[in-house]
Amino acid sequence: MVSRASTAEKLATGAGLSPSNKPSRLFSVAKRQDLIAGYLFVLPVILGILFWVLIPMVLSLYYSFTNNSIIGSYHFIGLENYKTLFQSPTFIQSLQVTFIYVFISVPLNLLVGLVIAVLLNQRVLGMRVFRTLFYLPVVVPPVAGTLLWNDMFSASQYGVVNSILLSLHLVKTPFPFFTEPSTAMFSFIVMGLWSAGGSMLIWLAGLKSVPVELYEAARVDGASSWKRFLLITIPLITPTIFFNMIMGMIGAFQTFTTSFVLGGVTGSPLGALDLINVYIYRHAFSYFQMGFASAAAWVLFAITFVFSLVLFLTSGRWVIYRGEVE
Amino acid sequence: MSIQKRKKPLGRYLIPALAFLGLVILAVPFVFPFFWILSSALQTTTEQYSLPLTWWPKIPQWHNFIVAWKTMPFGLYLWHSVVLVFFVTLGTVLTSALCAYGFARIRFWGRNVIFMAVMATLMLPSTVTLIPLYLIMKHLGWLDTYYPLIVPAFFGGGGYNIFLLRQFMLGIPQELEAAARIDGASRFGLFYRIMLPSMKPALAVVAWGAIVGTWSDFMLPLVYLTSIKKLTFTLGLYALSQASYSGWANQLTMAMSIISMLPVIIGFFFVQGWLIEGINLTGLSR
Repeated sequence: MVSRASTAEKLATGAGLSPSNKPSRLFSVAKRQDLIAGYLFVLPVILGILFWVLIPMVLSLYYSFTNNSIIGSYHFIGLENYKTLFQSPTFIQSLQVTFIYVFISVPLNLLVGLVIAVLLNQRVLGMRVFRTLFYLPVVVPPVAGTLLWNDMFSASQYGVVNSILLSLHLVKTPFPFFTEPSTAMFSFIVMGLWSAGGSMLIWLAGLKSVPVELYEAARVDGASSWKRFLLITIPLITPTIFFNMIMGMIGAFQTFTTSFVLGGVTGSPLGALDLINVYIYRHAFSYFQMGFASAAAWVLFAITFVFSLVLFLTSGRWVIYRGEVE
Repeated sequence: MSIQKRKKPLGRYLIPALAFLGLVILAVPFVFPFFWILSSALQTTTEQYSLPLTWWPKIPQWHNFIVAWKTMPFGLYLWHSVVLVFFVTLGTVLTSALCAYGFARIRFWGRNVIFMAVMATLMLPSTVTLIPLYLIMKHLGWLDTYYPLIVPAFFGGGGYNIFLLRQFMLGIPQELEAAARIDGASRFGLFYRIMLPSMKPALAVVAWGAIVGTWSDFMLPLVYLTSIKKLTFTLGLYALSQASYSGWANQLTMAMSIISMLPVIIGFFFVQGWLIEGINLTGLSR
């Protein structure tokens, strides 16, 4: 469209005929070719967004205002599903559980990943070996990892962690881990730390991108290593912090497998580990309340959207991109 | 200040040494679970439930792996997972690279809007679209088939991968392509002959993500695959863990968990170099 307009403009002014303008006409032909080529290249994702995102989203929003339950006909019930949701104690609980999980486990995971990355970045002996060791749990399938931790965190004295805690006299009776509502979330978050190596690789790349000259200059000025970390490293890796935070948060809001596997195996005690995604799954695929579950899914989407937006909007204040520093 | 300066030669060795010590201590909780899963997979039921704790079985029960494998048709499940991994990886790498090229190298009307839309899909929880997609698949007769798990991979391969590859392509100098263009290469020729060969590490990162993601995927197979003979390996492992919950055979669940970890752990050692190079080069940190 744009290319056609500009061609017409040139023809109208008669400039298109002058030999000096020949390259610009060629350019607009190229522009039209680019338009076609561009759309051909990105066609898969356009269709993908249409079929796997836009249409389902519209349908999902529509279902959330109906009493669709797979079998039989369904009809429009307005905001009924949303009203029921916010009056349902189990839904409110799943929201609370999700919030606690996201806002404790994401920063904690990033912090542990950063500490490991900073230590690895000290030209330490066996850096590659350590890096592999810390990263390995990340590739372990979540089902296998959860089954393993469920075994290690067994609430009986036969559980390996309890055995260690008992023999060190750190506890008098076996720690209940996943079996008590009061300790389940704590144990869940600790289990999640096993895969803190995921952010480590990205932190490492961020740390490596900090110019060495800056450290040298600060050292000449007599800044201690802690000060150098706080005043040079941290500001320069704020883009990495931002990236890790936003990806970590979106991912955590959508956690399903670990919560579901634990809930299935030990029976999540009084719903203490039932994240919102598990709540949605149960209502959709166990109780077949498709309309109701869609409403819950939209609440999750709204929450994710709002928090991402807040993070994006505030990022201008604390994320420093390299161009601005120099 | 002067103290700081005098400390410098010492600091050169002291800091790496302290870091090494810190890493050794930190590594214990990261490595111990791997030791423990192997130890418990090799124990007898009696050893699992006796005190003091059995740190390492007296006679390692290697046949536990065979017994576990035979509790369910795991050979079949493995085949299903391999097929899924193959097609999903193929679709993801192929179409995400195509789309990324379009976004990185070609200027066309509406490009930025489409790219923003792609990025926005990252925020969308999969459960929002899962319910209507399930009903659509039901309508198409695709429930309990592998199509709902494979076909989406051929439509862009996910926003994150497109973003990753686009970032990588932006870092590749345009001169190479410009030269080939003068020689009359088509857009697709540029993509296929020049771009693809020069971005192997990034493609490896994307392929690896697709492999691990598909192999480990739990939620989508759980929703779409219902009959017991169609399960994936990961679903089979979950089914086994549910079956043995009564506690008679925890060692079998652990043995099967190890088998489910092996392909990705072994694979990781092969792609590790590319993975790290890819993360450094895609400029994720910037």
